[in-house]
Amino acid sequence: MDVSMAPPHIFLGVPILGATLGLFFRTKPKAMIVWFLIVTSLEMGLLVFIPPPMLTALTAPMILLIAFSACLAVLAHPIHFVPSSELFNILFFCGLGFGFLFRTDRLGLVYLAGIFALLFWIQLRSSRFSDPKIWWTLGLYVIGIVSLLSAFFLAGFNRQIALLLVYMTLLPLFPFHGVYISLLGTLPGLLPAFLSIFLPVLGLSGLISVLSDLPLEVNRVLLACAILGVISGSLRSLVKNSVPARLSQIALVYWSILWWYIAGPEAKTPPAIIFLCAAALTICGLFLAWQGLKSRYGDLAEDQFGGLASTMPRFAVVFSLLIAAGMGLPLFGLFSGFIEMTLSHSGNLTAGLVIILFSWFLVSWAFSAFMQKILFGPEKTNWIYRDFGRGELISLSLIVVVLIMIGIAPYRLFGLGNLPHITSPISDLASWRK
Amino acid sequence: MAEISSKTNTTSRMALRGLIKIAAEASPRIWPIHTFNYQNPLHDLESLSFDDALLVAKRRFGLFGYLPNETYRNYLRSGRIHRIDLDKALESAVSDQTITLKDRKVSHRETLHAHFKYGITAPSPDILEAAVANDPEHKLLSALAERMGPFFKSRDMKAEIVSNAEARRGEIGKVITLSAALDRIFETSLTQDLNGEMMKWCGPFLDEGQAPWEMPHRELGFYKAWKTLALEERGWGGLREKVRELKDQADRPEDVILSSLEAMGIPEPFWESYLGLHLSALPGWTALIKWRSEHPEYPWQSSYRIDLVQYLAVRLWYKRHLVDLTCRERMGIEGTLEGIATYIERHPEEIFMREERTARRLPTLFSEAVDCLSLRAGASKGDWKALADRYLQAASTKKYSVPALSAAWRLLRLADCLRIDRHALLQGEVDDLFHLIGWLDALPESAHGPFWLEAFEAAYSRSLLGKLAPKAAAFDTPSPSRPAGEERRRAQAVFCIDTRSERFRRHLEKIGDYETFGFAGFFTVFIRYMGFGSHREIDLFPALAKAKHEVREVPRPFQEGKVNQHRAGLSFMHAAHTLFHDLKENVITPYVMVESIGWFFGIPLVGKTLFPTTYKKWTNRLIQMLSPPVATTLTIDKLQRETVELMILSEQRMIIKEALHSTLDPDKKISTQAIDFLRKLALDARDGTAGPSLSGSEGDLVFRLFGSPEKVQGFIEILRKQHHITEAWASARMERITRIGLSFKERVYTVETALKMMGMTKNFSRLVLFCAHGSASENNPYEAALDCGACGGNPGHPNARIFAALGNRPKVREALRLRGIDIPDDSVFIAGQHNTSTDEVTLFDFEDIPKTHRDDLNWLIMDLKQAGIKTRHERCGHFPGIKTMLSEKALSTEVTLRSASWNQVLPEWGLSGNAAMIISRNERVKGIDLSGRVFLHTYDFEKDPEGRMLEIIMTGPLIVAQWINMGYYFSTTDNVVFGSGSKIYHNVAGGVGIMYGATSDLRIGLPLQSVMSGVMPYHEAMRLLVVIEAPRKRIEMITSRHPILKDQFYNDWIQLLALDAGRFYRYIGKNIGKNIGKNLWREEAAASSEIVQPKTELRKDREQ
Repeated sequence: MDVSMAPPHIFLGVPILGATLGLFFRTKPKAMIVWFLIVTSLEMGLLVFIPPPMLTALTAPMILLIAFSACLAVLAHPIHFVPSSELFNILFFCGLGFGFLFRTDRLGLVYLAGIFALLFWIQLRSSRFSDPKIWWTLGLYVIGIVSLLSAFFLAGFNRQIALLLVYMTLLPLFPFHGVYISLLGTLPGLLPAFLSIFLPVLGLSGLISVLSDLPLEVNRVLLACAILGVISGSLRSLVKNSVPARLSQIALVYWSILWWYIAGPEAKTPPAIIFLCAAALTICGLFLAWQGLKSRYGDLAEDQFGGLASTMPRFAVVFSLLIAAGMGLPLFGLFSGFIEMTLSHSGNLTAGLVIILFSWFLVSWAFSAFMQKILFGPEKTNWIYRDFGRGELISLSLIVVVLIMIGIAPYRLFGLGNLPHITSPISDLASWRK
Repeated sequence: MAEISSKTNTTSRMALRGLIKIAAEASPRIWPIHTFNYQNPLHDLESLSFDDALLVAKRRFGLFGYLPNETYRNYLRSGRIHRIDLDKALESAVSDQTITLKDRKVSHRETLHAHFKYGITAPSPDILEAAVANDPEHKLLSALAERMGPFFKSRDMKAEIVSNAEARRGEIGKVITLSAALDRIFETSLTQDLNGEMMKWCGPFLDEGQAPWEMPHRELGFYKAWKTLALEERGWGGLREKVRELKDQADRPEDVILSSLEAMGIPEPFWESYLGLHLSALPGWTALIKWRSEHPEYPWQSSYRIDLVQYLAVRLWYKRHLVDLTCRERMGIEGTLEGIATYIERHPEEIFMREERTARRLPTLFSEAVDCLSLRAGASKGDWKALADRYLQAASTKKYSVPALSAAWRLLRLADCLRIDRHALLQGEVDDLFHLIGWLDALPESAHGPFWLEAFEAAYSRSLLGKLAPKAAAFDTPSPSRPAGEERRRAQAVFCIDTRSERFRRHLEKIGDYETFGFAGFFTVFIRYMGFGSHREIDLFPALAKAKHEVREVPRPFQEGKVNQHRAGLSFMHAAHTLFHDLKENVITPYVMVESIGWFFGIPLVGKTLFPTTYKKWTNRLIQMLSPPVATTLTIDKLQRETVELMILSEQRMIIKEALHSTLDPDKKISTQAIDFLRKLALDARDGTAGPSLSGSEGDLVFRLFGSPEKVQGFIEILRKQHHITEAWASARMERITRIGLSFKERVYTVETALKMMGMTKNFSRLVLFCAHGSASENNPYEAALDCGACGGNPGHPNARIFAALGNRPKVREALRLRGIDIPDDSVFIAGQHNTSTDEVTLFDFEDIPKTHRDDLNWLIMDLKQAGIKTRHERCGHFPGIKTMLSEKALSTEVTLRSASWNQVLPEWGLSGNAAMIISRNERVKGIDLSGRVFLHTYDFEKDPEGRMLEIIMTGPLIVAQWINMGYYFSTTDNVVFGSGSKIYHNVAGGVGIMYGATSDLRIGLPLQSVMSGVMPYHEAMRLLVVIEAPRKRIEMITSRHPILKDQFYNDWIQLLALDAGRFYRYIGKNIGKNIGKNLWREEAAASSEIVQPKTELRKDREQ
């Protein structure tokens, strides 16, 4: 079969078929992991065979990022465990996500609806209904799904607004943080790590086609929401004691910064993609690291840990590198992505930039407090410490390497040089930002 | 003053002081770091058995008194602990019970062995579920947990919450302080704040000249100085108002303590424990204060007085107000014990949930819920109850209970260790499984320490006795001394009993015909010493004793020319040093100084870092060039009273003459009679008496000088007040000068005692070396810990020099001859010092060695050098990172570099590894490799029939050795509590101690690097094993006379063995209560085929 003929179908079919065939290995955990690795690697490999007209400069990195995150999740899975439904779900998400990335028409929205349905179902299965926050989260799901349905039937400006609401749920923007936080905080196993990349990637892909057509007033609102999101996320990240909650809030800060950039004037696509890749990989890496700890010690609050620097040295090294990346230190992608975004902005950004820089400082503070609690302090008595295994270590090391690559390589190397602007120059916005 | 209760009177103050003394018993004491003295940190608990004292210390300081079980297991794996020793140690805990699991009999003994060997303990409850889920055998574990689950009684959590509240209520004031209770409930940091405040005040007050700006008002004493200065503070936290009230605060610290205790409502029966808890909060600072208060003569203490009463007064003042503020803010009640206890009783759910939150035992969801309720202003009791119910419900819905999972985990591990078929656990009787769990529960890992220690000590004891046994049997009863007239040895050398001397002695004896002795390095010379050019007096004797004599180092008479040059050089360096520090510490000058001469400091920086040895060599040369060394001697002879009187007379005449010249016309001639008359007037005058009577010819002379009696009177006042020409001053001066040196009787007694204690009464060689020891290291606050412990943490060469000089005096020798010590005329005593960092020996006072002995001296110098090389070789093998045997030159470079480098954390191992003390004749240990782990004291019981010398050894050197041993023991078992942590973070505080970082408690004990080699201890923590070669009856008799020895031996602080008639006997006096009239000794099997060799020895064997 000539793969160039039907890329969307192949990309959609490979993971779903892979997941189905994976059922044959249910009793052989090792074989199943290997099989899933083959499937996810195959997805990345398929990119090579797709002719350029079929695969745009925007779609390629998005597909690669999703496939890579799926591969990382599989790698980090403990080998002695029978892979649970989470890995199957990851492959299903991949298939649907690829479908959406290839089809920007109504069929794309069908794939997106499938993603929402799957998320809703997983969320329902793993939520505790005693927690009052769940109702707010489910409400947001409903808004997302209703917006999606509206977009299916509406046209013009109304469709754009409906789509915007959908993408605000995927690439979380204040006050639509709930879905993202809930997914990352409550879903089991490696799903949060995967979704921390998957959802923003879909969100940004969709947004790029929507934002340029939006009126100025909407952009202003989006900017205000982004700044509020930065403030809210950074402050909340300081007070959270639960690891996923803290990481989710930090991720929200990153996504709010991205929103601030893409909703501003003259937003270019390459810096946004670089920043998205770096932020998503950092958050994914930290969630993978957290999953490693969680599988060993349970869902503990971060101040229940301590002394891992001496007892889990391999973990400590990659974890601290990821923290360094998350804090936005040079050499890592997040730093260069952010610098690229700020330098490419032509407008007067003083007010927003000051808030963002201050919030970044708070996030760095939260990161260092987080690292200190996890790695240092006295060892716990009667804990059985086990350092990261090969799979987990390779998975996290790959992230670190890619983050460094993103950080030091010029983005033209990734084929992002000729992408169009996300938004046009708007002189009025400058006055608002003053 | 209003605060002082009516109860506060002299009696209650006295009673309080007594109570504080008792409360402080568990607290250790530390010397200022410049005279580091080892002491058992639990010295005041030695009246308790070793295990009981550890329990008290665990409660008070959180001390871990035994090594971690994993370390002991490593010792077992490496053969350092032998299985038979563990068997023996476990004997008392083992029963004959067995159970059967699918045809496999499992005994209690093997279960306990597996428990000790592998540590069969489940992970802590917070991670147990995850650990089981993550375990490859999780299915089996779950099945086992399911099987056992129903048999565990389900917990009545609601009842637990109520009983928890009751327990907490009972604890307050007895086991924990009010602030600690509040911290535990509300996660406040009252104790930390309180400690911070105390550190803030103690640091500057106890400073000994390190601070450029001294704390003002120190002369008032700690309490009053604090009171004065605290008033100037703006206050902190919510204490601003309270600080202002300090003006009306009582002047007596006792009154403040009493009023604070009363205000907090601490019942009188709790006072002792309550004060004890406060003293334990900062054990380091209280240890130094305790030592200072016990040494009122210490110059810094006599100037700036501090004691635990003053310390507690300040602490309790803060405490009282902080607790009150917190109670009002958080609970809306007064800060009293009763108030807090009642609140706890009435709000059990809130207390339970809050404490679970503080202890980090709550899942994230619930910990956030607790935080939310804490922040909500109107949270009611009902809200807390609802939250607690939700929590209990969540806990009860768990599939497996913690005890069931824990049991399953342990059973599976046990099955693996004992090679039992795992499925037998699922098929076996549940009763049998519970039996196994019961055995493990009966001896949890937290209780393994004493058994491990016993096995560890037994292994070493057998090893040591195995080495000693052949010599013990060979020299059964006859005296091993050489017969008179036999050829003399080339030289004799007396070294300190220090474990580091053992290696040197062994190698020296192997090299040539030398006889060596071990003796406490202060050589029975109890001196307060001041070196030439120094302004600081140091005490050169064990911490147990007091100074008897004062000795000064003075230039030899023929050095007069050089002395001026030396002094000028010293003054120049001193001035430069002072100028530099003044510039550095001034408010303004550092800004200019850094720019102008900052580069200059690059030289020492580069030199010390990259070329430490060369840099040290060149700076020494420079110093010698500026201030050439001067040959010195010591002021050993005591001055006659008449001579001293003459000295004082001429001194005072000089002062009066100068005073007259400055008051009158300088050209005026002043007769001696006039000066003497004025001196007499000044000495006879009393304050407030009438003017002097100027009768007689001398009176006329004086009258003519001044012109009026009023002027004379004024001058006399000047003499008395400004120039100290008073009777009291003269007496004090007289007393001071007459303390210098030793009288003839003292000289004879000193030499006689030391020589007799060593049994060194005949066959003296032509050269007899008295070798002290000291260490050299750079940038090491613990330098004193490496010097001679018997000399109060100082290099001991002055003692050796004095002893050698005394022994060389012909008159002393004559007197000694009459007392049975015949030192031939051609025997020359010389002094030396062994540098334990480089193993070089420096000899002193060559001027006193006759020409006739030059050849002997050359031989000795060469052989000492050779012995040093061999010792170095042996010692270097123990440094981490030195894997291969180095060449002689490389060895020399290695040790020199270690002693000169400012970034070296391990200049030498010091006394690390010390394990035993042998008090015996030389022949018992001659040629035996004791690996530098044994204190060796030479003692010949045959020459001491009354046991007088043995009594001195047992009550002096033996106790010092035990203190050293315990200092190392606790620094190893718990370096956090009774050690000083990593040197990386050390910060010298006030010149008196070490803090961790910028502010902390003062650290007690030794640094981590002095006792650990990587993750395993270098120092093998065990109690001192003492072997005394003497009749058992004699040892018993001496022990019965000294409570300190009774405590040591009865309470297991020391393991005592007697070598009597060629056999070893272990002292079992601790069972004296049960064994009255019975034998207190049990014969110890000396030789064994299964002698355990330490790892280092094994390595050496392999290398050979």
